[in-house]
Amino acid sequence: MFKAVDYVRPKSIDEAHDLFVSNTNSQILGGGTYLYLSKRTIQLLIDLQETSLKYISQRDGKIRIGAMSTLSDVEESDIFKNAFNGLVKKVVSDIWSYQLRNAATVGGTVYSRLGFSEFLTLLAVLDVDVVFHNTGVISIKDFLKMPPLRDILKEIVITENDLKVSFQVFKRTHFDFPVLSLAVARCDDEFRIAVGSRPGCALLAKDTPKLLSEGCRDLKTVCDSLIREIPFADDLRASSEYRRHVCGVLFKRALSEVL
Amino acid sequence: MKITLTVNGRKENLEVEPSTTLLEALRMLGLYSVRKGCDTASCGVCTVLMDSKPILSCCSLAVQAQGHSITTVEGLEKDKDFEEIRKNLLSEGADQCGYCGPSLLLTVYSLKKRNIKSLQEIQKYLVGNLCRCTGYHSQLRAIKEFMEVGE
Amino acid sequence: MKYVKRSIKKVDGYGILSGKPAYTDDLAPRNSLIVKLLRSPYAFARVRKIDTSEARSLEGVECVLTHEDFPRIPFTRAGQGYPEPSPYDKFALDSYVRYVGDEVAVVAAKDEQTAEKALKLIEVDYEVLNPVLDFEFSEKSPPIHPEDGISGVENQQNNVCSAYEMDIGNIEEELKKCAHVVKHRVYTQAQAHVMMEPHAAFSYIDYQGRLVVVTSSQVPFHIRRILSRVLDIPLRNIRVVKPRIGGGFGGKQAVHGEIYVAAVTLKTGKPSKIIYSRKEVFESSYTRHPMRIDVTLGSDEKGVLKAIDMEILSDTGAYGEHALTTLMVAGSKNLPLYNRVNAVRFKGKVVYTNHTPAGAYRGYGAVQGNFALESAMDILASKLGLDPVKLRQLNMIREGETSPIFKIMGEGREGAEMTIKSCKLEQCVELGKRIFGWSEKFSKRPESGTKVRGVGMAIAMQGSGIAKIDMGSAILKLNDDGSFNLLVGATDLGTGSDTILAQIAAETLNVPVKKVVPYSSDTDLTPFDTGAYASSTTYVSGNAVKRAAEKMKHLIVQHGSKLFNCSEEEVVFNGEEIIGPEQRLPLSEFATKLYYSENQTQLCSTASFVGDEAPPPYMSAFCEIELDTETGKITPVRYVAVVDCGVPINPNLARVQVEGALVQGIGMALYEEVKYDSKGRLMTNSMMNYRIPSRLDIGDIEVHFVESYEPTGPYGAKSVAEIGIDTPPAAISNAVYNAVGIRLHDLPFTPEKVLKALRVKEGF
Repeated sequence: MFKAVDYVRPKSIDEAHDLFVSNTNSQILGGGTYLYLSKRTIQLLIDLQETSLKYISQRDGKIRIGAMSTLSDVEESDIFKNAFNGLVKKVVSDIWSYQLRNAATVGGTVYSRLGFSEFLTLLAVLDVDVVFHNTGVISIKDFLKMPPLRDILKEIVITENDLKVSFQVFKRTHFDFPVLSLAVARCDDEFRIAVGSRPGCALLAKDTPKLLSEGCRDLKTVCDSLIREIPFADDLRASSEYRRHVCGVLFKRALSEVL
Repeated sequence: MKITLTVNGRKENLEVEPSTTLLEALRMLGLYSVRKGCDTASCGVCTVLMDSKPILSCCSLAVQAQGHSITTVEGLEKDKDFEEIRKNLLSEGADQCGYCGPSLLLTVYSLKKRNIKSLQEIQKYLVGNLCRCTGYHSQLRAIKEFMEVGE
Repeated sequence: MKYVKRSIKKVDGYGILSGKPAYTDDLAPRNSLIVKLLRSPYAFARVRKIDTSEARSLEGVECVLTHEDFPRIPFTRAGQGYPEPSPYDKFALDSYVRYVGDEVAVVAAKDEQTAEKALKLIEVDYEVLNPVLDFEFSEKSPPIHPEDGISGVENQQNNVCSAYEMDIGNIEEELKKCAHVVKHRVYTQAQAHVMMEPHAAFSYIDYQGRLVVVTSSQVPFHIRRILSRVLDIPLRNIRVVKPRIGGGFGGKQAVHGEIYVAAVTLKTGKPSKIIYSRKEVFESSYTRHPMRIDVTLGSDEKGVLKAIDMEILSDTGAYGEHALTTLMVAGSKNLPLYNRVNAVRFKGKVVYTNHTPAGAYRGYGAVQGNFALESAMDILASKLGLDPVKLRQLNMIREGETSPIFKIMGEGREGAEMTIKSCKLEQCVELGKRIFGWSEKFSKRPESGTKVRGVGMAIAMQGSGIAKIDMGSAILKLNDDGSFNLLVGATDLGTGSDTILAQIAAETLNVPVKKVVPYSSDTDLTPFDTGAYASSTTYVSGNAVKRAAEKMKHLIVQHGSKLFNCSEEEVVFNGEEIIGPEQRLPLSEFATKLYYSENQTQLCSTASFVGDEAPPPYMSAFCEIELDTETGKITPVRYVAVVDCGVPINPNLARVQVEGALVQGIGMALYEEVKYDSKGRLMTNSMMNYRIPSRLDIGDIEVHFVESYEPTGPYGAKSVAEIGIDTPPAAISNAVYNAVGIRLHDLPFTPEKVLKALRVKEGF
């Protein structure tokens, strides 16, 4: 567990943001379900639970999720029962444990861009905007490539549309981090492919979607392309070689669902 | 710093650090049903209910829990549902070493309150409650009867 | 039988589930000093210099100890009967550290924060040495234990901790004559116990100036003896108490933090407590002994086994606790399964490495040996074109038979002759086969598609205590209300032994179970018991309880005759009343008189039991798995286990023991991977990385019992604690062969390994 000198619960995002940027050794506290692994000393812990960021709303074809909504809030919301044919609900419901999902926040999950995050792999292929208090709106595509922002993530906005989406994941046991997660989204001839838990976090493929857009349907060609362009590494859960193999398997399965 | 926690319906005053976990704080209050299993949010043994939802007290901070309502098994002694699931678990011999017992009881109790009826769903919600003694089947027998689910 | 063979609730369940303070940390005095251990970051090093001055002067630090503060007394941490069949190769603290996590120094401070800070202030100058990390090369590597003053090591220079061999008949000759010979090699991993409660102990000096140690331990009496030796204080001045334990499985069958809290308490006069972190439990308690096992089987044309040869190399890690005994049990609890062979040879070595020490773990070598033997049997069946069940039926041990191995191989020494008086293994196999639907499933044609199913089976045996060695005892005393206190040394680790021992006493005395109040595992107040291991409690401690209860019955009759002024033959005690020729007295009135008004005597009986034999429980196992040929993942679908444990004293508790053990076995077979880095650091050292099975990872498990009657056991009972863990690695490996024709021989069968094997088979 980290050591924290001071703790504060600001009543507004403005207040939270001011504290966050003015104190370089301050830390935003969402659910705290990963932060506890840190051993550092934090000068100021800024708890966002009273800044009114816990909401899930649907309007004008957009779903807005406040950063302090928990993963369980997403899982149990009526909105996600139906949105994307229940896929978001299904993916979230398989994350780690019920207890963890009752505390882990969407904001914390997206902001920290942890390698194993299945949620991020799925979001990466949807039309998602990440909204920061000061910096404003950033597309998920751009967000995944940026260096860390010293700003407060307020909400994520998912545009509802007719994307055909498939999510595949491989875990060693039911209660484990993924060995690999993969998502494919398709809208007519446009394809998006994200691979996560590589063990690195969700990465959007560049070349392989082009191949598919150009009409290539040869499984071997597109699989080889994906495996070539996505970097994998070894970790305790699997070797990079095995991940490459599983990537091919999951990709095949995903394609069979969207094609 | 001084905080006030609402635990089992009572207001409790405590002196804690910002990084004191809820687990540590509850044990300071003499609530020994709340136990530490693992250090890495990986076993579920430290589960308590926060606003009726199961959370891991080992990675929650005591300061975070201010303003919320915490429930441990000590607070459910007179609750009919709780008595029943405990009775079922004991009848099956599923209490074995008992260390993970309270955490399992609280999680199952919260699912009953939500009226979850599918056995598959129940098992999925319970995946974060690890047990090394029982092999899970005796727990399942107890839970099936309690939740009144079929196969 | 009224109280035995009843699934009554555990006597302690309600309290534990209600949060009553019951476990070690709950009971520790609030003002206990917090003890933390400085542990080696190196797998092998010499401590050149250690400077604790800064740590000592930190405010709130009460005591810092190094190897210079302990008398140099070698011992074994293993909780075994004295003289222990494990080498005395450990010192409380030493100037050598032999694995990452080995103890270097002890700090005691007013709180955890201060203790952690003090640890960081200790300066150690290590001379880093080259660690030995591959047990297959230990013998060719420089010694890990070159020091003088240790004993019981087979060959220090060659890193051989223990060695054993035995043979019956002429193995080479027999094999030559065999129509079929199969050879097979397997590797098993250093499985971690992952009991839910980390190791915990606290100590204090009581008002008589005695050291009291309260510890989450399976072996309180052995702890007392070891502490006396290591700390050089008289045994009579030590009291060891076991409260409720949050699981053990063998991982608490040794001394762990007790030495250090005791040393701190003796030095400071203050209560002190140590609670292991989960990392410490993984790195610095014990693991199962990883083994390499070679099996050779020889049979005739029909499949009748003629010869078995088993050779084992076992890795005991940095210290030799339980090394020789687990090696021998790998043989002694498997080879007799096929007792009618003409020749058997068993050979093995246990070597040191700079890994976390291996020690006792449920199964205790039997599961490793079973994996090897039952896989080899499957290979033989395949070669012969025989149904694997048929091959077992042709060869397995039957009631009334014996094996010379029982006499030759005990635990660390000679064993004891035994003719099997209760064995329903045949029926276990028949019943399991039928319930599972084996014949139909086994002969099914291989499927196409990427998800393939397969079935496999295995049989196993274990023991009931260690014959001629394990002793348990019991004291019964009558209270004035007609209830009894049952005092037993036996250690309940959540298994429910307090409950079943009360059931046995109740049955003998013919009183309701609630009138027998058990209290266990306090070296001052309860009589001796070796502790909870070797599946001894039901059989050994149970027999002691039965004897004590029979003695109590006789005492009641005796004193009844005095009260009624008649002969003993004229008195009957029926559990409720003492009945004489002219009077009858309810037990409570009788007891009250004896306490206060007539022939006042405290009725108290005591008895001990040590077995002449260790009658084995048996089981058959049938399992179905599904294998995803694209990813290599094995998913357990169904596991049917049929167990003969004699008469189950408490059927529910016996069932839960088997179910729990099976799941640990499934974890060992499929999920529990152990990884070290190149410097000898254990990388799978948290529950985040080392994944034990969750409730969704195990499929359906069905446990059935076939009752036999063991005449030497209490009410026909044998023990049941370990047998469940033995079969999953072999049964699952055999099922995988049935599904896709590959022989998995290296535990655990991770998807990655399976995939590799599939590709090799396909010619990649």
